Amino acid sequence: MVTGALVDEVVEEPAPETVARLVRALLIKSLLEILILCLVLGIAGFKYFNPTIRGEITQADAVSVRGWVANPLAPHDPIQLELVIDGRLTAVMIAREGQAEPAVSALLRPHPFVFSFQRLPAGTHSVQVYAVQTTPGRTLSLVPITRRSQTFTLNPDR
Amino acid sequence: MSATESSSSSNTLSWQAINLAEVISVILSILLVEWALAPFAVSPWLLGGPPLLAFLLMLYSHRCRGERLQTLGFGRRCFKRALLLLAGPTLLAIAALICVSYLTHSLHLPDRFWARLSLLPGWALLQQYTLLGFSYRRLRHFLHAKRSIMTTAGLFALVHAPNYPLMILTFLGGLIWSFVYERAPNLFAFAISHVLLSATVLIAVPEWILPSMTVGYRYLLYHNF
Repeated sequence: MVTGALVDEVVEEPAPETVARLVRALLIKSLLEILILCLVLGIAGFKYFNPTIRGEITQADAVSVRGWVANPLAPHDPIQLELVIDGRLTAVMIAREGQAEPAVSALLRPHPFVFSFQRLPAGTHSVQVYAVQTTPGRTLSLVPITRRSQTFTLNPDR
Repeated sequence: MSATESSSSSNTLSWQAINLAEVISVILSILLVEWALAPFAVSPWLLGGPPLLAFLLMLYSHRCRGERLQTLGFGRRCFKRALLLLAGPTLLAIAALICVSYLTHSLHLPDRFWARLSLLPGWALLQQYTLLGFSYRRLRHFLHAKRSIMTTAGLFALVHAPNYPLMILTFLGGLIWSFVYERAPNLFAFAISHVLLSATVLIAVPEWILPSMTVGYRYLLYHNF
């Protein structure tokens, strides 16, 4: 075996217990690092992609989209919303705390919103509203307020 | 091969594996923070977790092996010899850097220079301990001197990725420091050399060559490619 140089003491064969102790220490360290990684990713997930944001698109037609949104992590703060129709950003607004539909619990602190826009052409459209989420870093992220985008069809004669 | 010889050879192998695993584990902790945790500006306490664990592992490893502070290079032993061996390359590098800064008119006082300088001695000592007092010693248990020196310098450059100007400088620094540590292991002398060189790099290297001392993911943010 190569000795540890001048780095000069002679390296002796380790006792099996020493090897076992070091292996255990390495495993524990790795495990703790994995836990830290999971914790950081979990916290980052909450802060960057706030999964607690709730909302609903209650009505979507040719000229408007209505609904409500709530952010339990900051229930009184205004929420910046972006309306995306057929994958394109169509409008931006700030939703403030207010009276939403009676079906929505006031405890949620809903922020009602109404987007109005030029009449959409006939055909099938998909609508989604995104909340702009401020993050601890220098970025903003968009969080959809409902799990799926809402789809509706406009007939040519309407 | 007799049973005793076979057992001894297997012990040696496992001991080599442990030495390698320890070095990899410490380097991975640093890379974990630089690349996997730094992108998420979460709590600085959590970012400090892996380096703290690496530090504890190093301390525990010394304890298990019965290594003393003196042996690692924390005493007075070899101080003068190490300083003498380091003086030449350190002064030469400083002269070269000052020369470059004179030619390129890049001598400057960077932001928060004095604050950074005040933290530098402790930071340099910690880096030298991790690089030489731990990694080099562990590699030296199963590699010959030349390979250990190259590997240590390579690892030192690796943890400074992707800041390639800094990687080149740290690789050269790693080569010199490991070479001298082999002959005169005194970490205080290495920390002095490290502080002098880092301070000179900060004030002398033009910003178009070394725009910042950041490493890992943070180096990529807002960097002009």
